[in-house]
Amino acid sequence: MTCIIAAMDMPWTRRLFPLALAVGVALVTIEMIRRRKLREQYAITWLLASAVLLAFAIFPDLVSYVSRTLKVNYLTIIVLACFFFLAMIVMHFAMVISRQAEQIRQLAERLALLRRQVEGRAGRDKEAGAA
Amino acid sequence: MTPHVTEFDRRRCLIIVPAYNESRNIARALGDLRDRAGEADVVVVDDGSTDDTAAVAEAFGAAVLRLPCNLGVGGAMRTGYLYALESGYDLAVQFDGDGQHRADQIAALVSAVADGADLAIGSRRLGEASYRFSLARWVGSRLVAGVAFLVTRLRLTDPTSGFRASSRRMIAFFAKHYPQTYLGDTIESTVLAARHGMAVREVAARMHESGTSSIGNVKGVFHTICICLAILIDAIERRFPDTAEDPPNEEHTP
Repeated sequence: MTCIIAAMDMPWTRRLFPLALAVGVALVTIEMIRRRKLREQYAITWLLASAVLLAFAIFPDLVSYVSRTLKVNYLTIIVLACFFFLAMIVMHFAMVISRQAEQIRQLAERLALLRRQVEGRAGRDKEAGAA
Repeated sequence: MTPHVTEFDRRRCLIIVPAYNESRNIARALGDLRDRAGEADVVVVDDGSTDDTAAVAEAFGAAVLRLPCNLGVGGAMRTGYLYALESGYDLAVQFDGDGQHRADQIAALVSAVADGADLAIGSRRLGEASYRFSLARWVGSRLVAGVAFLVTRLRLTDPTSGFRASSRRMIAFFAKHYPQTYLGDTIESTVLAARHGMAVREVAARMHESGTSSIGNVKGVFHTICICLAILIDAIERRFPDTAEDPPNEEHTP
C-alpha cells in the first residue's frame, strides 16, 4: 500500500531525471560519432549506459525492486552501479592504452631501423656518384 | 692477444650503447670501445636525445639508430637487440653511454657466453672487482636481489648491472620481450630471461665509479619499491609461448 502511494506521490520527477540523463548521453554519443570524434567501438558502452538509464525511466520501480530483493539500501545500489560502470570503462581504457603503448614502441623501433637503412643507402649512393 | 679476444673473431659481436643526451660522455665510452674492443661493431641507440649525441656517435663511425621519441633505456635496448637480430649477430653486449662501463672488461662477458651462458652479467661485487656501494644503495640492491631470488632462485650480487652480454638465443628473446620500465629494466629483463629457461651467469667486472647516480635517497627508495613490485608482477605474468628456438626473422626482412 505504502509503495503505491509513494509511486503516486512523485511519478514524474522519478521518471524525468533518468529520462533526461538517458536522452542526454545518447544525444552526445550520437553527435560525437557524427563528428567522427568517437569510434563505434567506444560508443557502444555509452549507448548501453543510455539504454540502462532509459530502462530506469520506463520502470521507475526497478531500483527499489532490486533494493528490496537484495536487501541493500536504494542509494547504495545506485552508487555501486555507477562505480561498477566507471571502473569497467577505466579498465577498458587502461587496456587500450597498454596495447597502444606497445604499438607505438614497435613503430618507433621500426622507424629508427628504417631510417638507418635509408641513410646508409643514401650515403652509398652519394659515394657512388662521387666515384 | 689473449684467448678471449679470438672470440670476437669467431663470432659476430655487436656492442649496443643506449644513450639519452650523453653528448658529453659518449665520446669517452666510444673511444674506450674503439681502443679496447675494436673487433666488435658498435651501435648507438639514440633514445630521442635533444642534444647532438647522434652526431658525436656518427663522428666515431658507430652505427646510430635514432628513436623518434624517448622510450626509456628499456625501449632503446629492445631496439638495439632487434637490430642485432636482424643483422645476424651471434653476440650482443650492453654497454652504457655514460662512461661507467669499461671496454677491457667485455672479453670476460663474451667468454662466459662462449662457455654456454645465454646472459652473462658483469657484477661489480664479485671477486677482486668488489666495488663499494653506499649503504642505501647496498640495501636497495640486496632487496631487489632478494625479490629476484624469490621469483627465479637466481643468486645475484649486482642485480641492477647494465653491463651484460647475450647469446643468439637471448638476442632473439630480448628483441621481442625487453621490458620498458624506467630504471628497473635490467633486473626485470634478467628475471624474464631466467623464467624462460635462459642460462644466466654473473661474471666479475670492474667498472668506473659512476658517481653520477642522479637520483636522491627518497626517490631511490621509491624506485626500489617500484622495481620490487614490478618483479612480483612479472612473476604472475604468463610465460611467452614462443621461446624454444629463434627462427630467422622473416616477417621483418626488408
